[in-house]
Amino acid sequence: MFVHVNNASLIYQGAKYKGKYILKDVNLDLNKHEFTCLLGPSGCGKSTLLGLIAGFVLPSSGEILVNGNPISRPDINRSLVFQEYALFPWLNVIENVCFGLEHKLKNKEERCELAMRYLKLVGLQDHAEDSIAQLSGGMKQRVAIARALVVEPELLLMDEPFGALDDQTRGNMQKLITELWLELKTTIVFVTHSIDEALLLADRVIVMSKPDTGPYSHGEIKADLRIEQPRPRQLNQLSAQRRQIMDLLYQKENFDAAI
Amino acid sequence: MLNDLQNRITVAKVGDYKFIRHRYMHRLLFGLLLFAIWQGAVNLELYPRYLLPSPGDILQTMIYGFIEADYGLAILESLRRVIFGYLLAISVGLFAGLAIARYHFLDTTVGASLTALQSIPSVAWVPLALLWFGISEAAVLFIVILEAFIPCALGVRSGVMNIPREIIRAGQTLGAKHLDLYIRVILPAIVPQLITSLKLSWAFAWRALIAGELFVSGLGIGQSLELGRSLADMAQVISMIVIIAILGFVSDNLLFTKLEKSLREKWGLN
Repeated sequence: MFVHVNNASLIYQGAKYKGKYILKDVNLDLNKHEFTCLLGPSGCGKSTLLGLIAGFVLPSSGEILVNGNPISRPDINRSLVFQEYALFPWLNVIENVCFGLEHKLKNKEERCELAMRYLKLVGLQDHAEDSIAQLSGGMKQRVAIARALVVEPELLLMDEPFGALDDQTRGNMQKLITELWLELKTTIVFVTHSIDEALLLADRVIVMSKPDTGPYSHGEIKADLRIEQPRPRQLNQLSAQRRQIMDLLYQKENFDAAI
Repeated sequence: MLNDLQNRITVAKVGDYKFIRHRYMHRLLFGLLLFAIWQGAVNLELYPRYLLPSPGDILQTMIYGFIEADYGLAILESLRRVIFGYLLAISVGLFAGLAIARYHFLDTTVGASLTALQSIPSVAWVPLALLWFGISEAAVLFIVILEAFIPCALGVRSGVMNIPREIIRAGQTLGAKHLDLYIRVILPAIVPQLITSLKLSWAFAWRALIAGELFVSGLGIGQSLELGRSLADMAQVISMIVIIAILGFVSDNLLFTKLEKSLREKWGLN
């Protein structure tokens, strides 16, 4: 197993809601080269689970292994793409992409060459010298994806990466990430709250939810679905899975009442 | 009404050039008006000439002071002192600020005391400095450093604390840790805030310098001021005040403000 989440729990550390579980006894196994989506409503703990895999926070109990090694801190083998891009504004486009290569490649020319190759992959080869402030949201996220992929991570973690983009840009980015994944076969864990996005992108959809709304409730994994349709996918081929996820996410009676 | 609005829009469209020309014209006219009132008050002889010299007297004193007396040297001495003290102060301030931002217990102890210290005007430290260091350059430097390091430290502290969490995390997942994280992520991330702090520190250093120099012998702008007072030479007193104003205005506007603005734009602030 490539990523092995074993009975991981995380307890809230602040003074308010002391002792509250954010995640409780989560078990999850991810295979290499798989594209996994963590899907669920806000507050279900999907981003928290991603943060645990990244190593930003350590589980209160249980363990998370990547390649058999327990995670203790963030590492360059697990790079991240954030919703708000988190690019370094003091560097230009290509310098941002080169950031993670500093200790991997000693030669600056080699670094630039590799960075240029990834900029080409995301379609930004003509913007290498642009400053970050002058890019649109979609372009910023392309830079962020190139920056995370150029270090050739074992695991690419994406935290609602297209959540801040308009619909059309979002569609283009979904196409782009599918193409990149087909070419590079990087293992991807992708957090989203959009059912359609998960269905279009993932091999596996991990459906998460928060069983009740009280302050002491915690998120849990509801289902683990495999999406077999070949890519590129059309949403209308996926209506059966869509219905299945809707049933899982909304309580059945509420859903029937709504339609 | 509508016509008026239309006119204003057209004026704005004519471009910044006209607007800027207006601004400079207004400043010039305002300055001339002040000089006219001043000269008028002198001509009315409301106060004796030795208490209220005319703008011409000041100009004469300045020309004499720079050519025949030691105004130039006094300015250079003051600048040397303030730059030396300032550089020490901001080095201390930078590291103090980074440490306070890094360790929570330092923030609740040292950080809180700095905020309290900041409310003490520099001149209040003069008696203490004179008793500790004597009537010496060290006393002036002590006051300058004490005043100037605080805004730098507090600015760096808040700059680091306001870095978006994702920026730090992005650096960490791209392999930057420990010192590397400071050099490649944290320090560049606070550059705009750092410039603002450096500007503030400079203003504090400058004020502290003049306060300190008033009480210490030797060359310097503060001493020239004090000498003017003891000789009842109002022209010299006012000349020194004008020199202080010009130096402050020049360093603030030409050096810091433009740099601050362009950096904030580049960092995506504003």
